[in-house]
Amino acid sequence: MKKFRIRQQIISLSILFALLIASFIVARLILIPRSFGEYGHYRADAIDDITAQPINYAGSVACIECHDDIVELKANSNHKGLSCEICHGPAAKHIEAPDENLPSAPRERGFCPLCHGYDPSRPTGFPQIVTALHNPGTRCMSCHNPHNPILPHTPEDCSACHRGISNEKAVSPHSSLPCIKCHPASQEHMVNPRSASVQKPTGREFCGQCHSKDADSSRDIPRIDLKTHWERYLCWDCHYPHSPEAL
Amino acid sequence: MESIAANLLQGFHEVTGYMYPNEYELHWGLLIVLYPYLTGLVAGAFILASLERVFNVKALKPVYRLSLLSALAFLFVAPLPLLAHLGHPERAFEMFLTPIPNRRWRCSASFTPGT
Amino acid sequence: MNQKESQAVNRREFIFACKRALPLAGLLFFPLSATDLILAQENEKYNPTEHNYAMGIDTHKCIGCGRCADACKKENNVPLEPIFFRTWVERYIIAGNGEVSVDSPNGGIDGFPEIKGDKEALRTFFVPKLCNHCANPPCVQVCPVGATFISRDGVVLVDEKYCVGCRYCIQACPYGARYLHPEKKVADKCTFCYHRIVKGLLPACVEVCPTRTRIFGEVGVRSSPLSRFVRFNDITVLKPSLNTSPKVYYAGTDGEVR
Repeated sequence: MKKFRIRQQIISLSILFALLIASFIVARLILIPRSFGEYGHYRADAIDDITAQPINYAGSVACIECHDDIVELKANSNHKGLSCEICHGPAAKHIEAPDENLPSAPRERGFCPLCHGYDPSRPTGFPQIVTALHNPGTRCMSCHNPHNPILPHTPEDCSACHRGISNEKAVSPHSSLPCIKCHPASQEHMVNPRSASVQKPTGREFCGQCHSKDADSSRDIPRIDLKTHWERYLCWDCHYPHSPEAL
Repeated sequence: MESIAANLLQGFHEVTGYMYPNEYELHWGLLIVLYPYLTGLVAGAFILASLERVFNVKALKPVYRLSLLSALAFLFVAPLPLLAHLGHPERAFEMFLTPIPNRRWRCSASFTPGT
Repeated sequence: MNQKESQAVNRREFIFACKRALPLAGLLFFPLSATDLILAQENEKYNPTEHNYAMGIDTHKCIGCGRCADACKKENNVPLEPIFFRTWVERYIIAGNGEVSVDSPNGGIDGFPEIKGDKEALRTFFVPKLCNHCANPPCVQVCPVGATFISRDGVVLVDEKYCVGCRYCIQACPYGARYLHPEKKVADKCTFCYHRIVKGLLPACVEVCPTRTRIFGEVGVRSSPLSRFVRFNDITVLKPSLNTSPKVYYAGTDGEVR
């Protein structure tokens, strides 16, 4: 019977492969960090590294300890939901060393408009001013206490908080109508908006007061027959009242 | 014809040019592009050499040694732009120690050294 | 006699003064700092398997002030250049003819410029964006070394010491949430302020949001504010067709938001 001899190449190659695999396994044992794979395919010590990051923002309750008078004043004001650190910046270092790390207090005119400057993208009803026109050159704090921002006087018209709608209405055929003609608002709403909501018209007859064929109003106003003109719809399903161009 | 043009123009209107702020920086640029170029050179040179050695194409005899050598040379150079592009090239060995346990990666990881 | 009396008075005064000073003296033995107060909140060791963090964003409420993006940069020492953000605010302007334009100048940190000709805008709103901490994250799938991972409490994190800086995860993220840190040369992204949430605090962006646009909480926990948020709002997520299962839930977000 022929003796079975393994070829020379196979022996050398298999020795080489065995050496490579062995060195790879040894390298893995030495080089992979100890905590790798403990909770998943990652180095478990990384969690500790990440949680050891220093904290810069102390949180809204941290200020009460020393500044309770201001916190109490703010707690009943229009700014009650706001964290102190929105305006005064990160305060954790200040708590650790109060006299050395004073937080900033933004007093320049550019800061308050970051929230309160007029931008039509902001939800309507949010108090906004047109920065360039609103007492230019004056500091915001000279009339408004940031910890209790009561308006110095009640706004005369609705554009103080509803400027987007007011702007649109001002260039429409409804520009001569005051807002309260369709939205009767009590004085309470001007002072404390959320406590007294404003109604909207509820039926076609409301618009018919001026726009119906037999209405008692100026002859310039376009008229429709209230009974037959799209009688199953409300007027504002098609005509945006603040800019009621003809369709 | 007009409707095709109108549809194309509508497509242009929808391009607004907005990129996420983090995406302004191009990450895989020249260095990454160099890698497939070099490996393409390696593959091409190797094919040339094997045409002569394996398939006995006599016309290539003057050139097969040079192409074999350049294939080897470029093979060593090809991963260098990849290493240079890494943020931490000194940690590149981690890719072999703890590769992601994902079938797609295993296939591509074995494919790349093979080329 | 007088000396004895005066001594007695002095002694009495001294004892009274000691009584008043006792609580203050107690403070000498237990110096308290803010971090001690914060850490004292966690009585037992934090157990990550009990939590699964997520966030809700109510687009209707966002006023685009950018305080969230600013606080994030300050809390996490993010580089100040306008191409590195862990979270940012976008403004969408949808015109009457259907054109959509989006901008995010410096992430919204300095506010937004005036819209030119705003009477043509049909709809316009702000959308805050951040890492969605997906339950099926494409960035974790592609990391060649296992440096980015999803922790046991549902937060996708990056291991700075293990990351190679190949930028595959930055390419892979469909939401543009990641960037390469220019100094550390590793991938970086929003971590839900992990170092804060494990101590019971809120992430910095949620902490400073003035309108309660951002709600932070846990999935499936009835007492979490996020639970009320997902109960009362119609929830969408960004790019659902990519099957990443993002865990940032948007309420009232327009279909044009991408």
